[in-house]
Amino acid sequence: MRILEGTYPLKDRRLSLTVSQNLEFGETPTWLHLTGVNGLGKTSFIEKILIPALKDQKVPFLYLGQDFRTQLYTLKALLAVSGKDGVRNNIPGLLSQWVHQNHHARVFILDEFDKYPDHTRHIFKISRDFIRTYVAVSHLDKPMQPGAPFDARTLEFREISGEGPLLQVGIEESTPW
Amino acid sequence: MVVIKLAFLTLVLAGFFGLFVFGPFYTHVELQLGVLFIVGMGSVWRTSGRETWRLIKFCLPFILTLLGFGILFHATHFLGREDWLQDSLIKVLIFPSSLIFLKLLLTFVTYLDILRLPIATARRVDLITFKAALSKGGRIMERFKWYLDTYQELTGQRTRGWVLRKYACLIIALYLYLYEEIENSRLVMENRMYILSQRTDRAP
Repeated sequence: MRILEGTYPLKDRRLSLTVSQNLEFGETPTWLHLTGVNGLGKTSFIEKILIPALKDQKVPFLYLGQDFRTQLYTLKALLAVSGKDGVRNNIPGLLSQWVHQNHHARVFILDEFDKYPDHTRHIFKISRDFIRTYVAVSHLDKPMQPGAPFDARTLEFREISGEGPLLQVGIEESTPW
Repeated sequence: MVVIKLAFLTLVLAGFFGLFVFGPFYTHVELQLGVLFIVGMGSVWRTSGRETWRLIKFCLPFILTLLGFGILFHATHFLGREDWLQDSLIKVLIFPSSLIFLKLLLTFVTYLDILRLPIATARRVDLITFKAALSKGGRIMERFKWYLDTYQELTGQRTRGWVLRKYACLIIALYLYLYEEIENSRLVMENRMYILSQRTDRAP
């Protein structure tokens, strides 16, 4: 998984994200924490830069979005179409079925998913054997981590300048949290 | 008053279909193009450019298929007819303009209009729930499509079967969503009506 350094203007979100150095993940098990105040484009970074890059690089990934309650309808539908009993299952059961049928995935993106701590623990438990990189947005004082052997790395989002039509945001790796 | 308003909107709708879809101006391609433009502008004014573009995008697969067949049949003089291209062009213009026009007219029907309709309360609740579901369903579709595009199970191949699976998922997700939303909206509304009736009963 590689994100090249450079500036990524996201006009529809009124943001311009500047990645200060090439970001490479996947060699060692990593838990990558995206941090920064609200409105600086962490979700936009995931949805407009990271996921398209993963698709281009053909890296299989799983994504649980910030609006998980909305996404849940699509997961239920997906499992129903796959012949699984997803509609009637409870959430942990549904997540297990979905994760198990994606055991080839190498990246798991969790956008503020630790607002459901039990589900997050469950996700780590059932996916840590095959996932190489977790990418997580979290606003908890102590974000939930998968633990060893995953190295914690932090990607910090900082406002550079609010001038001009786009909010300028810098993204750089900081010392591990 | 509300009955007059709804009757007027129905008349306008009937007039549109009577003139441009089934009526004397059906075969006028230039006029149909103008109608699409005006209806599109009206939609941008009443809703937004984004919403209008979303509607056009929704029609695109149908439009392109129709146009493709029109060109093919025209080139091969299918069934000896020479007007395939003209006919497809008309339909390609009419389909989006009818859809956008219908949506445009519906924006003039408000929840207050429905509340003031002289019909049974249960029917009013049905109409309000239906309108709320339609409005929510339209907005949520894009997000559902976005999520489905992130699922490896649906993006591995671009075969027809895969595309059908994706659309099956979209329809099921939308159905589940609307089912729950309608149920929730109905519960909220029934609760409010219950509280209102309790207060009315207590009033001196």
